[in-house]
Amino acid sequence: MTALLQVDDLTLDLGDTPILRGVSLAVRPGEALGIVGESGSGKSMTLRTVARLLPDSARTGGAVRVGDRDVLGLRGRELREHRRGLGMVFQDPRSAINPVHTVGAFLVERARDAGQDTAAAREQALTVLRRMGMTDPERRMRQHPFELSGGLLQRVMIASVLMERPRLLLADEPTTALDVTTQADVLALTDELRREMGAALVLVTHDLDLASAVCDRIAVMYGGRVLETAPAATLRDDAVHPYTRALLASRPPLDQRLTEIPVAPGSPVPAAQTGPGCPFVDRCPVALPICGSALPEERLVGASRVRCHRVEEVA
Amino acid sequence: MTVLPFTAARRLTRSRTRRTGLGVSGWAAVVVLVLVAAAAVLAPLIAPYDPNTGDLLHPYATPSADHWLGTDGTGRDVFSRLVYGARTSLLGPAAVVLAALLLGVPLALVSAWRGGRTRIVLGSVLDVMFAIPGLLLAILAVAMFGPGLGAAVIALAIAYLPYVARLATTAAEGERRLPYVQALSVQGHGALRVNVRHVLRNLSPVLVGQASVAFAYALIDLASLSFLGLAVQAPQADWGVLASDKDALLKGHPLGVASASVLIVVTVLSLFVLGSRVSGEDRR
Amino acid sequence: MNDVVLEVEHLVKRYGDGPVVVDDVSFRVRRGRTTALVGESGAGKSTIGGIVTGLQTATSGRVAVCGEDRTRVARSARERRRRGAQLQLVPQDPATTLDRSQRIGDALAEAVALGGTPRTDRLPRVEELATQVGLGPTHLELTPRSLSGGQRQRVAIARALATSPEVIVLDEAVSALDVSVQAQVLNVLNALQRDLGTAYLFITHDLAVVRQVAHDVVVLRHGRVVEHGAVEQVLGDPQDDYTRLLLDSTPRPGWRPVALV
Repeated sequence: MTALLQVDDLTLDLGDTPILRGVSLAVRPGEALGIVGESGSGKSMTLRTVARLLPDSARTGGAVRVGDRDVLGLRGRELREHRRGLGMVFQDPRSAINPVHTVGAFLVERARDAGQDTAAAREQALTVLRRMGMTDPERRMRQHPFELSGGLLQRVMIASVLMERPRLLLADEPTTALDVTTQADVLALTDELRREMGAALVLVTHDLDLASAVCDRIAVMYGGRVLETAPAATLRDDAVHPYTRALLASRPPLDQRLTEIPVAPGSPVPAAQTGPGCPFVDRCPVALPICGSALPEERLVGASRVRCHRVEEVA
Repeated sequence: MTVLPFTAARRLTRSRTRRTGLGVSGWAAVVVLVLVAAAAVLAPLIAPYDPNTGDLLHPYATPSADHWLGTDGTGRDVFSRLVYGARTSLLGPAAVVLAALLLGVPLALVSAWRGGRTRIVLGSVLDVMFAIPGLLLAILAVAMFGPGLGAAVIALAIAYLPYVARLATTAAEGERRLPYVQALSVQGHGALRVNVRHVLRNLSPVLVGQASVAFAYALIDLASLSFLGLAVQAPQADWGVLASDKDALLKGHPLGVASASVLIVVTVLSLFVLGSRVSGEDRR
Repeated sequence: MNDVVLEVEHLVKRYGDGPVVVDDVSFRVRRGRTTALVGESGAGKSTIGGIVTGLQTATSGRVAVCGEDRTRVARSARERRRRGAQLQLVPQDPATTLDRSQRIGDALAEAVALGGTPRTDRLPRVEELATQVGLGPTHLELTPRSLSGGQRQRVAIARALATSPEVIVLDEAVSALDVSVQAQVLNVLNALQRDLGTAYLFITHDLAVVRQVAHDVVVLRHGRVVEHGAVEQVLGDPQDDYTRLLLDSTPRPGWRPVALV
């Protein structure tokens, strides 16, 4: 099947600061891809580039295609149409919802934009809110955003996005600000609805286990590059790249206390502080001199697509 | 590893470029202010004539090699009067700002630190003071103590106090809420040390910025008072006095008035620019 | 028992006539051990931290550190310093945990000076503290701006250790860190506890972190204790429905999110 979203060798600079260095990704229709990384990895900026939500100082290279559209070259009406075809969910719903309108007005307006009449839009909004775990959607529709908790508001945000039945859902840390019990609930309900609708998903998160729970494949980013892409189901056991392994190991288990959590020394670095080679080289336990001077092409090892000079030794 | 020195060097250059500093306009302001201050301090060396003794035979002389900006109605050298005028014109506002800061900042720190009732009481006092217009207060002070720079400075200092204190209180309250202040308190440091060594130090950019803006306003206010004949008295050289030389204007010799006015405007603008640069208002 | 370094008894906090945010909470922290306060937002865990550190006052109940009552505010500078030598705080946000204009070395020296260390002996102690948390002498010359989040939290820990306290309150101290850095800081904290015998009151919402550091766990919900016990017991065989829900909601390998209803 051809890809719905195809990112090829994407580079991004903000002013003089490099943010992304040759990012390649593909998402098929209905598929869910998790982009996982720590701060500075470029995961959020990758998502923002797909939606073309970039500051004026941004310069891009490479290609981003959604369907048959070349996203990086879009302007004006075409750009608006492109964005309308996407569903976007951010970490903070409060900044994404107009505070002076009621929840109902917000939802109905979004649905009418998509070409529905008011009564049908209202009916659909109630249904989706109920599906998102809201017990009294009629009352919620009459309330204003400030009357709702962060968890409820994020449900509203996701409901509004799903009502438009987007082909591609882009979510940037959608549940990070929520309590864990709310997070689990929102994730489970969103996942169910998304699968029903057949929408593809790109989920940006720092949590590998969370991404693995709702995604088909995981892309691990570090220093503005994708270092490994692998099926979510087998990633924990079959991870190849030393960084993926370090990331997995540093999240401690729930069922036993370790004397020492295995860690890579140092802190994650943004693309601006990396050389021409592998961005993880300074922290890598198995790095060779060549790792600092060149990042190898992607290679298929087992089910993983990985960029590492040491794949034979590590795998 | 060979990559290490490379990334380290990158990190250094990046952190250096990120500190943008004053920028072109900021440095221009600094140059203007240094020139004005130098004129005030070095007045006897710069001014070619005594500012207060005139050549009565040559009133309203046009600019010449002898008198760069001409002379006034009593034949005094306008350029020399401008140079000497920088002294009172800078000293007055400086005294106003210093007094307002010395009273206002401790008030702000106490108010922010104690919170609760202390904050409400101090806030109410400031609100009352806000209601009194500065110039009115100054005219009142002049009526009581007689005209002169001293009365005007005291009056303006009192008038400026609530502005300085209010801004400093807001800034200090923001600082006080930061976790490091809480950690220092838990650690066992006294309120005085935390406030002076940490809170005040971190407020200083905001305070310096605010002070330079207040200085500019005080310069204008004192010039207005001198213009009205209430602060600096006529024979003494002062930009406000010079700008208010109505006789010269009426007799068609605007150069002295114009140069004094330009000096006031340029100095005030420089202070505004520097103030906003230092306090970081116009940075991203 | 005299190895109890922090004792909280029947703590209640209520803001004015508003709802009770901490409702009859009691627990103990023993020397060289870690007690974790776990819960979601609104559980009252940070309020309890504020009261224990003396930054907030309790409506009723008792807090004792090393057997000494802390219910009233410290009266003298000496009392304040003694309290500082018993209990210290590491706050959450690496961005504001340190004075931004103070060099790291100065921040640590200031804390060391509190313990009455003479001026000449301060530098060696500062260097020792830096080493204990895995920082080098070059870091002492820098201001917080030049440090990463993980390094700043290390400095905050070193600053807390400066007075050799019996207890350190860590209020979500690792929550804002990247996972690979969080693991480093957790290792540092555990190693310090082994070497120095410092007790921790660890406030967090993250059960995986709790498992790695805590000996005892207090699970809070809406200001009340719903479960309290040894970490193996509370996380391994939870008795309360809410504790079980928290556990089920925490992502881990092979986890699937389950809807609440």
